[in-house]
Amino acid sequence: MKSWITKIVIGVLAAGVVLATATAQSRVTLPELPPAAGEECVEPTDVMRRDHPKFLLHIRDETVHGGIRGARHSLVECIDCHVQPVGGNEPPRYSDPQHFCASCHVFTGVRVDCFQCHADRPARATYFHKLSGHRHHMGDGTLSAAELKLLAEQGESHE
Amino acid sequence: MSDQAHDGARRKFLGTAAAAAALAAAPGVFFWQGVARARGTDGASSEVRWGMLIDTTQCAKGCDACVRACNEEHGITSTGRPTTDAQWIRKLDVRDPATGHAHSLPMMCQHCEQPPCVDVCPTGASFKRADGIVLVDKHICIGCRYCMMACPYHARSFIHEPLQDQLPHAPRGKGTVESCTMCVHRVDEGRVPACKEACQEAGYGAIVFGNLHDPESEIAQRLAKEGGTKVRADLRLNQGVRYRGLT
Ligand code: SF4
Ligand code: SF4
Repeated sequence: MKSWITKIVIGVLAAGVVLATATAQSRVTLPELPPAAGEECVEPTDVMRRDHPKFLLHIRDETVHGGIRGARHSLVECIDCHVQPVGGNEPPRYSDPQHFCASCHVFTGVRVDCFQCHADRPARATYFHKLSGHRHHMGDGTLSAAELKLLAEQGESHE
Repeated sequence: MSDQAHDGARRKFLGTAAAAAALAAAPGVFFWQGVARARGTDGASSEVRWGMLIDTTQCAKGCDACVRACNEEHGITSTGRPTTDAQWIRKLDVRDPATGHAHSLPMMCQHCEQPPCVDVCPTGASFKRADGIVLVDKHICIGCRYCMMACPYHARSFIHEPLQDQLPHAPRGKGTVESCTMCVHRVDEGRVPACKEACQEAGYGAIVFGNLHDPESEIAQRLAKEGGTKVRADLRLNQGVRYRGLT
């Protein structure tokens, strides 16, 4: 499992280098990332590009073994926001290069097996709503003042 | 239940403290470790033991509302080859040949306190949560099926073929073993399992779900008053699922 993660991390880092080089020289066709439903990702783009496997792995064990749910970095949330219907059709599957995850993973040659088990598209009811209506983003209205403050502080720490 | 709430509050505090510490120590670097917990969700607590009491005197022969609800809840569909289809819950009709007394009852993972599936699993994929729910971590499962052999209740299924369009809350896939999760995704949200809900809606109310450790809960009170049978109690697995009216 460790070596799998290492490969992904190296792959993503390599992708970063390729992306940077490609932008400078414009010799390679860059992946076209489909638009997301939400206004803003849970982390800045450069952090997500580098660290998304870490985020997902970290909460995976907490969720499955500890039953701790509602984390910001959940795969379900990524899919809900990033995989959207295209031109009135169903959202693309992972096997389709138009799929948000596939668009970059195909480009970087990093194969993931997440979608052998996990849904690669939002639940049908979800993609008819804007992200802001999603329960995890909204919470259940019980965030304490301290938590709100904490979230606000954390938001600022990236600036 | 108040213990569970207490535990949740404690987690919330610890999460907040950890996040604050991470920010102070190295802002941006360990930032995400704090964020993952900032929302303060409750986790599985050993103060709770989830269980079910199935009252076979209320369960109707021919009714399969619980089975249908389970399939729908977890996106379980038939491949057209019933011998290898996944089956998390099934209806059994049993009859005592001596007396002719017959029952109909749902049978699923019994969420054993001493689960043989966990004992034999070579990878640690089969595990028991702190609150007694027995699960397969499919990230770790290698599909060896030892657990299926070890389970006295034939409660587990192996997925033989690639799946698609799984439900977001119910990841399932080829090469892994699965069984009743006691609707862990619902339980973690404070809801009841889909089979219990469906049985209630069908008007039978044969399934009682709750915390065996809480003497005030309906399940504990009914077990105290009416008793409950553990199927194959001779195996001393101390299952979380109990039956009433079997004898
Ligand atoms: S009933 Fe079977 S699958 Fe469920 S905990 Fe017991 S041994 Fe494991
Ligand atoms: S099939 Fe999976 S869960 Fe069952 S014993 Fe093997 S590794 Fe463990």
